[in-house]
Parts: sequence; structure tokens; C-alpha cells
Amino acid sequence: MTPRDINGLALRVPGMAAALLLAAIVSFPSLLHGQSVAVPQGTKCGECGMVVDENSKFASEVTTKDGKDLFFCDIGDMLFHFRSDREKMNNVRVRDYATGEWIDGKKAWYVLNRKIPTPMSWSIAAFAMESSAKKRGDPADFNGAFKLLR
Amino acid sequence: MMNRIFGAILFLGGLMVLLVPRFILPVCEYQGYNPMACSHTALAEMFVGSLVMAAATGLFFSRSGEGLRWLSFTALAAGISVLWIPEAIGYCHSGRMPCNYGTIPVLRLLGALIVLLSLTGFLLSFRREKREIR
Repeated sequence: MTPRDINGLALRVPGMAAALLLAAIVSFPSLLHGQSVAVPQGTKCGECGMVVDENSKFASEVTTKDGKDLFFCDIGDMLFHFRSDREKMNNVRVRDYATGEWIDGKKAWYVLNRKIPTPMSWSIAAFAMESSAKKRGDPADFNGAFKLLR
Repeated sequence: MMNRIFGAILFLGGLMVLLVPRFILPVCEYQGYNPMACSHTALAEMFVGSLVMAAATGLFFSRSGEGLRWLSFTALAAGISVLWIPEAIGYCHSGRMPCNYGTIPVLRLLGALIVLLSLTGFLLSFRREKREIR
């Protein structure tokens, strides 16, 4: 290894480290909250058949154990769809009602609040933090959320 | 006379099936929501409702026991469809949606009424045919 190679390497290593650091910083929020989900335009709800609004705070996505992707217009529709076979759900993505960010649905907190209007009138909202869920009602974890279907 | 009574009542039942999902207790789409499964259910029910009305009109004007049998059978199949369509095509399961608390329960009631009436007509047609043979 010539001094020129060492010099080049010395220049490249910090550059690569900086790029890795930048990538980590950029992806940190998505690592923390789960990757953002793009709802394909015109996608229909897996339960009611209504077109899913990509900007809705109540849109949700479920990847089943057999690799199928299902989108729902309302968290209540998603819970109703899988109420009797929730073991088929692999990845669940919902949106944090407080921030609008996509979060892991299995770790989210759910609240039933009739003052929250949702596309299918289930009035169930998801929250990343239990503290913000408490401000809107009695929070339930993922398994408890199925009992909010009323 | 029996054909006329069955025909008239079934006609009213069919007319209700035709009108309920759109005008009397409209499904969600006609109450400001986006089109969804219950909208398709409504269209299918309206089609079946018109079939019941057609069978009932035939029944009203037919005089034979055989007419009563086959037209009742047609109405029976349509009545079963009225009950089956919401389960097959779908509707909103949230108890606060218009189709869930309004349209579907009434359609189920009408479907049951049509099934009951047409089944009675179908069974009575055999007795009537025996009388006609004598």
C-alpha cells in the first residue's frame, strides 16, 4: 500500500462515516415510528370497499402472514375485518392521530371517542404515546382495541 | 282469488325492496358518504325487488295452480336473494352507519316476508292443483 492509497483511504473513511451517520439521522424517525406507508391511489378498503383516502388519519395497512397487503379506510374496519382471525395479521400500520405519522399498530394505543368523526363512524383513533391517548379517552392496547368495536 | 291476494302482497313487498335502499331508508352513499359495498348491495337489491314485482304481477293475473307454483317459486328465489345479497356483497358493520341501522334490517324483514309468503303460495299450489284435477 503506497502513501497515496493510505491518503485516499483516509479521505474516504470519514466521508463514508459521515454518509452513514446522515442516513441514520434521516431514517431515525421512521425507525422509531415505523416506515411511512404510501397508500396507492384508488385503493379500496379491504372491509367496506370505499376508496381509502391517503391523507386520512384513520387509514391503516395490514400485511398478512401470507404476504398480502390490505388497506383500510377506518381503524374500526381493520379491527372488524380481523376480529376473529387476528393471528393472521403480521404487520399492522396505523396513523398516530396526534401527529399523522405512520406507527406500528401492534404497539399503538387505541381510544374510542364519539367526538372523533371517522370515515365509517367507528370513532376509534390510534396514538403512539399512551399519554396523548389518555387525553382523548381510555386507552386500549392492540388486543384491547378489538373490544372497542361497538 | 288466492293468486290475486298473493300477487298484490308480493308486489308491495317487491316495491318496498326497490324503494327502501334508495329513497325510504337510503344506504350510506345517498346520505353523504363515499360509494362502498353497501352502494352495490343497494343496486342488487333494487334489481331483485323489480324481479319480485314482475313475478307478483304475473301471479296477480294468473289463474292456474301451476302459475301460482312457478311464480311463487320465482318470488321465493328472489326473497332468498334479498336476504343473501347483503352478506354476499357487503355492508357497513359500524352500528352508526345508515345502512347498518336502517336499510339492512328493513331489507332482512322484507326478505323474510317475501320468503314466507312465496313459500306459502308454493305449498298451497299443490293442494290447489289436486283440487283442479278432481
